[in-house]
This record gives sequence, C-alpha cells and structure tokens, in this order.
Amino acid sequence: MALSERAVQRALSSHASQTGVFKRVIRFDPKSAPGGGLTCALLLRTMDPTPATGLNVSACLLVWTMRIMLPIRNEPIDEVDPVLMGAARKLMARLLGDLTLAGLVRTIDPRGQAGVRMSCPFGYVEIDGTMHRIADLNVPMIVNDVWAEVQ
Amino acid sequence: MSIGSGLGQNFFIDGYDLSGTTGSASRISSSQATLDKTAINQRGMARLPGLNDGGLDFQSWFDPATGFSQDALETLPTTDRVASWLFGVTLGDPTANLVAKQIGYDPTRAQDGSLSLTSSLLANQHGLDFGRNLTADGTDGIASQSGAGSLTGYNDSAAAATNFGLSMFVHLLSFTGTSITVTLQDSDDDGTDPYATVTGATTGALTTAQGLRVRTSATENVKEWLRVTTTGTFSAATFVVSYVRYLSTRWT
Repeated sequence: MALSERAVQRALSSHASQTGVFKRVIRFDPKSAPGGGLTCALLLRTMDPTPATGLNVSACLLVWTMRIMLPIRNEPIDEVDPVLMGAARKLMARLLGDLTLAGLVRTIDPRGQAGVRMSCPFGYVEIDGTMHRIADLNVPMIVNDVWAEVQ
Repeated sequence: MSIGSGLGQNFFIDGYDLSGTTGSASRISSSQATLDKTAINQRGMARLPGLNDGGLDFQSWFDPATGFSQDALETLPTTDRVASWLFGVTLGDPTANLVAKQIGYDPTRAQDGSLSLTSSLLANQHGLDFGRNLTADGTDGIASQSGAGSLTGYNDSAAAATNFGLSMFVHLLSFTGTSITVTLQDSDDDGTDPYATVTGATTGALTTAQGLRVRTSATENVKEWLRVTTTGTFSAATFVVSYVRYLSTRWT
C-alpha cells in the first residue's frame, strides 16, 4: 500500500464537502479571513513511522487537522458552538463511515491504535483581524508499508 | 564493537513470507535442559547437559489477504512447520531456524481497535538452530532467479573443514516452472578448489511453495566455503536458504 498524498487529501476534503454544511472547503491554512459561514480548512499535522507495523517495513501515521471555522460575530452568537458541534459531528460520521478512505489507508484511527486518538478541541484563532471560533478535528490514520527498512 | 538493532528483519514459515505482517517476537529460544547430578560430598550444584529444546513466540497483525498472516497461520496443522527468522539481509547474517509444532493462533481485539494475533512454535525432536543466511543480497534476504544457477559463496570463518554435517532450511516462496532443486555446494577456498555438492544437502525436486529442513549425515565433511545452487526447469523462483554447520555430535 503506497502513500498517495494527494488522493488522501482529496478524499478528506470530499468528505467535508459532502456534509453539505460548509460554505467553503480549502486545502490550506488560510492567511486571510475566509469569509462568513462555515469554513473547513484541511492541514497535515504530523507524518510519523509507527510501531504498528511489520519487521522490515514502516507503516505511517498521518494526523490531519480539519479546522472548522466560524467568525465569532456570526448571529445569533449563542448558536456558534452548536453550529460547530453539528458540523464536527457530521464530518466525524462521514469519516467513521469510510474508515479506509476507499482503500487508500489501513484505517482512520479514532481510538488511537498508533498512539494518537481522534479529538476535536475547540478554541479561537484570529486571522487578518477577524476572530474565529474553531473546532480542530484531529484525524489520525495509518497507512501500510510506506517505507522499507534495510540495515 | 558493532551493536545492531532489530530493524529490517524477516520471518518465514513453510514458504510464507510473514515479514511484513509480523510485529514482534517475544521469545526466540534455543535452550538446554540440565540434569542434577550433585553428590553429597559436593558444595555446589553439579549438572550434566540434558535435552535441547527451542521455541518461537510471535505476534502478527491481522491480514486476510492470500499468502499473509491469516492464510499462513489459521489452519493450525498437526504436522511440523519449518520456521526461519533472519536477523539481517547481508550474506551470512545470522538466522534462527526450527522445525516445530504450531501452538495456537489467538486473536486479540484491543479497546483501541487494533487486531493482533499471537502464535507459538515449539520445537519438535530437535532444538532451535542458529545458522547463517546464504541467499541474502543486501536488500531482503530472498534470492530471486529466472533459471538455474549458483549464488555467491560464503565463508563462516571456519578455520578448517568440519566433520559433523549440516542442516539446511529452505523456504520456496514462489515458483513458476516444472521443478526446482536447491542444493548446497562447498569449496576449500571459493576459487582454486571447485565447488562440489555436499552429500545429502539437497531438497530434491520441488514444485510448490513450501518450507523444509534437510540434514546431511552426522559425519559429513563440510568445507569452509558454502553456496546455494539450483537446478531444474523454471522461469521464476524466489527462495530463502539458511544453513547450520554442526561443530560436534551434540546437536545433530
């Protein structure tokens, strides 16, 4: 199973698009405020060999962050967190319903087989003078046999 | 001093290459029992060597594809299995080999969702033998041929020929053709003295993937240099060969 970097990225962004809740899905870290409505930004956090592998090959642990963003001035303001929660729930449902990304990976790893669990902490980020409420959905996944190991 | 690591190793059972699906080995054991012969006038324990034994306990990752862990281990045969663990992929690197009964194939489904399987091999009638690899090429320890021929010779630093025979452990991993015969040849010097077949060190004609141990007579003369030679009619064959040179009658 080789690592298809672009195919994995496109599969994740496709799942985000198909939730139907995002005004825009972008595959980069935005340097300017993305605009009103829900945004999903796809970023790769880490790319590590994992012990969950064979004797002479390394599997790869990828951890993606799917950052769900909403400007905090979105009205009504007390709906901001429920809107983010709903978007994260729908996105998680799509990902957990396609654990291998149609055969691209061994598995999306919600429970941390390789040491990192799926998580979704909430917070704030200011971009370009605009404060956003964010939910960072961290998506770990294991890809088989990416690197051969030879002494 | 050149301490090595456990990375880049290989594991074969009965012609199955389980290197990519085996996660770890918790025990690779070559043991010798002792017999207590302490007399009443001795102040310390007195022991004689007893029976030798061996075993290999390992953990695999679940892989249902043909030719991998589930396929190789689920049948739990009552017949002996031949296993070889390669500690490196350079010609002459150490190997651990045994003929054993497989004891169990036990899945563990952890709370984190991982699915691993533990198996044990217990040696049958002969302990685990540490030997040397004769098919490694610096990449993966496996020889690949498109026709009959000889591989590079190896000298295991034997100062002189020995007279206690040898064992060869062969894993034929894949094969296309009529048959292949794997034989060990020896030479005094890998040059002037031509290679000749070590009597008894031949698999006979093989036609399917499998693992086997071949043992010469316990008094067979084995020269310093050894190499693998194949004969037969085939267009493709991949295989692994390890050998064990016996240095006394104790382990034959």
